[in-house]
Amino acid sequence: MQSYQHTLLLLLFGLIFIASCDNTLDPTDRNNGDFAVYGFLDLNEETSYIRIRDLNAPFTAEATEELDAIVTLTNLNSGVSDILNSNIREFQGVFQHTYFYNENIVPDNEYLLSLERSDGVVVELTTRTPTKPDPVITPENPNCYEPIQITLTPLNGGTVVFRFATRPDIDEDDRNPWSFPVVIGPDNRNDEEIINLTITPITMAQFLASDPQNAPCSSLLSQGSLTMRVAHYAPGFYEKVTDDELDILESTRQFGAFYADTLRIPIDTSSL
Amino acid sequence: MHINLIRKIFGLILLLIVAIFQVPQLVYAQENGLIRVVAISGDDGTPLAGANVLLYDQNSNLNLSNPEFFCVTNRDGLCEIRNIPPNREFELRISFVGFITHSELIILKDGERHISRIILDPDLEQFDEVVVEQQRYITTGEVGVRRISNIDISRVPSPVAGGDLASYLQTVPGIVSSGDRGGDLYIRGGTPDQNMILVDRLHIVKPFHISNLFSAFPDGVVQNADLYAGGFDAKYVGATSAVIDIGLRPGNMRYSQISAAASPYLSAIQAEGPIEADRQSILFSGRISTIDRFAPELTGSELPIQFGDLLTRYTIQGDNVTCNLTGIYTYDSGEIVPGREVIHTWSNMVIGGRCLGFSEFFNHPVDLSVGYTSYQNEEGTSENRERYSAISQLYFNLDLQQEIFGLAVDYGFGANFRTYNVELSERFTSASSLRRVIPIISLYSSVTWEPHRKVVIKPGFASQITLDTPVTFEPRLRVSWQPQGNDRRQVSFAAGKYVQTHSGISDERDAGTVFTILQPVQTDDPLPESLHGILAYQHRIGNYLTANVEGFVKTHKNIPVSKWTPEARTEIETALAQSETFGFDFRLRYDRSPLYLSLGYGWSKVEYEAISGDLGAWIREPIFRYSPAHDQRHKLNTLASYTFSGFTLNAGWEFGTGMPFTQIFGYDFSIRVPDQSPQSTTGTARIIYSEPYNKRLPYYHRLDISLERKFNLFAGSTLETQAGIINAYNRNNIFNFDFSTLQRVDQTPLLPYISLKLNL
Repeated sequence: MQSYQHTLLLLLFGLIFIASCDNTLDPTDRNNGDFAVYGFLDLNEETSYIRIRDLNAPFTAEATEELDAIVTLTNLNSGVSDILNSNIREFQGVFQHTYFYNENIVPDNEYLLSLERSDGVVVELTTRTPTKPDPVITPENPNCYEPIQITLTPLNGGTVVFRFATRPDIDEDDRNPWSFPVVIGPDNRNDEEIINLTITPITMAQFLASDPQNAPCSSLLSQGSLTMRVAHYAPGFYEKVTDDELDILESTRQFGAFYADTLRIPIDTSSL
Repeated sequence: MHINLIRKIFGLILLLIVAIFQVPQLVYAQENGLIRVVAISGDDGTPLAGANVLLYDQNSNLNLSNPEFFCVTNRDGLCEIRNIPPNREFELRISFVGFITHSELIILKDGERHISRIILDPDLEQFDEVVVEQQRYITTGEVGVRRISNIDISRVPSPVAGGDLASYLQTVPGIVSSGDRGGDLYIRGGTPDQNMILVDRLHIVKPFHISNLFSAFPDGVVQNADLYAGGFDAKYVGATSAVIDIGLRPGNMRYSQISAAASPYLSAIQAEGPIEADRQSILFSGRISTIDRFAPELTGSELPIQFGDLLTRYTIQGDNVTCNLTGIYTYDSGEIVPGREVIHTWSNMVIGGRCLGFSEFFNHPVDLSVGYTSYQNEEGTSENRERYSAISQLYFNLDLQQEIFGLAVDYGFGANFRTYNVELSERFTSASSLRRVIPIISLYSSVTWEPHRKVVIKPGFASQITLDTPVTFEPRLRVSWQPQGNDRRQVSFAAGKYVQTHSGISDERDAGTVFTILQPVQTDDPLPESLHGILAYQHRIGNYLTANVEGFVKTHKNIPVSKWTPEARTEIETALAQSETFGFDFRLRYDRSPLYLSLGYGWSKVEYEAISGDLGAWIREPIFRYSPAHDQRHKLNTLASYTFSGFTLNAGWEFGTGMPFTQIFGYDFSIRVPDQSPQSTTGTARIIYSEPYNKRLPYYHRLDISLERKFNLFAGSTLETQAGIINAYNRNNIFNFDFSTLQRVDQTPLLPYISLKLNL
């Protein structure tokens, strides 16, 4: 009888031991995920903004109220370093931390963005700012059928995206007034330091018109000009923001430098 | 090309039909006779499966352990003995545990086909002591097979009087479920769409309910079931992983019976009885869940699931033919993850019949089945159906036997007209909606060859023919060796190639969805196929203890797997993967009334491999190998049943190591820089998956216990009472972590229950 009771006790202890074993689950892969970075140094703006998020923090106010990070931006050419401050904004119960940098961004300089967590985890992202050359357009005041050459130099390996419009401010029938992007990166130009793009105004105007058939140049280019938008990306930045989203790590680290200019190219539509 | 193929198919069918009706004429020229025995239970007039039929030559010394001829009845109660010398006197003995042995003397004339329909009367004194008789006969049927009786099913604690096939199957090593809900079973590395489930040769796609404790098959309607975890023979065509072949009970041929059961989980009613005594009967079973009403009181949490099933079976037993008509309907609906507000619904409908003819006219029994099966599953909110997939099948199968050069040849053919229908909302990018009809012709043949009295070899092949895919050739082999010339020790081997013409696509990363797209293999895609190899050893020690160990390997090719999108969303794209599964099972069973004990342990490793470019996110290696969500390495099951003082105590404990899952890489608000400014844009919230299957869930264990007692009431009526607990020590076994609600979802907590079943 006593051995029977011992067996029962042993069984009971065994069950209690098994039942008390840890079965907690951490659904978050803390070894891989640290910070998400979305931002860019804008060479045309006085302030540049960078959104930073702790990837391990769920979408709750409690988890996002504080961001455990010291964010530093360093110009590696000059050695000047600044600790960035942030704006905190609440969106649907989640706090978002947007850091800002109020200094002018120097073209063709290397910048280092550094994020340091209190436990020593450091994430560093670098970018070389675009050179910001002035576009040279030849000839001046061309007619509709005269090819225009647009030259940008020097460049430091960045990608330039051109778009054109005949009437950029008029959103006709919800139609995007801008042309398809002409992307010229280091891989599709002969010289890394120079871009030469040639367009013919009438061809571009016909492409942009909703009904180009037999329309005269003066009608297609009624404003007497072609507008060009030049977006200049830091080396590698354009590729990063347009790459396949399946590269998870890169898709959460979108940091670079950029500026965009809009130029009006006068076209002589009167002579033809 | 198609016309030629169709001509070939019809030519082949014509040849087979001619063969059936030509053969009798050939046989009448033979001298030896044959005897067919149909064993019937004197208790309820239904067929007795597993009865020993023995023939002793009266001209030699009678040796009970060494009959001249023998066979064992199948689930139709039928077996036959061939090549019996004419004009000699034999004693025919038919025995079955718990029944009085039948004995008679027979003398066959030249070429005579003798049909005996024997009714065995119950032996009330023998019922208490079940003794396994030593069998001299040898079969190849044991490797890779778990033969399940309704008694086995009733021993597993279940929150309703009796038991259920679904509860039992989950105690089998090598069978993995994704938790206590969803109704999906993974058998030795195979996925649910790679399994074939048959009910009296009729197809049923997913008879397992949304609560994994239940299926459409309570113990009261199941006669027996064979689970082929792999290596199945040529008769089963069209599945690459496993076969569950369920035989239903005919309704009682002698007495009418009605039973009603109630428990917190479900309410059930079953009625059966003769239409014509010993000739025609009908069986009806209906069940409907009630747990959604009682769960909040019993467990403190909502369990928003509903399920039910209806089953009816009409049986007619003639002297030369047995036919049955079966109808099954099942329905499941509910939230796999409470609070997620995604409702899963599926239903099955099966209508069909089967006839087994064993008249003297036929040289061998002829088995014909015809049926219609439909299955649909869908997922969505209560307002909108977002995804829908259905398959319907109209089919017939003819199973025949023949004797060629003294060897028993099984062969047959079937036709199956499958209609697939898929409707997906715009969220699915690559898997588009479709509606297609695919006719499939299948053929098989196998030979049973006994080169030595201790060895049986059964080679065979199967083939499938469709208009869109190449003709398949699927060789199969089963071998068995009994070193002692009886089934006390048996070594068996099975191997084969298996092909299927359809596939199922689901997002295995998300255990919270069980929606599966069933679709035919595209014309240019290779067919999913697998190779199986199993080696088994079985040893019966004494009359009560049986040990069995099996090693297995399974490889699958061309499995469509969900492409890995970075974000946790229900988008399905597929890539083709290969898989390799290997492992072993060990089973120990002690069965001596009043005690029954069983122990099962299984170890297995499932590994998938795919070209990384096809798979999606995170993969950098050119070939990526990973363990899928159903790779459970260790599984241990124990089951005990003890009867004392009119009570029966059942206890089942199971333990399983954690299965792989995919962690969260991060919670993110993505911004399309530089087009969107971080200053003015909030961004798009997204939860991003980490590297696929990079972590395992905590291990799982659960104890279920029940205590039963039957009370005799009035005029033969009885009341079965049961009290029990599911998850007796309230282990928090995880089901999954739900990415949409960001909550851990646990399996059933401690759930006490009382169930009653009244038998009239």
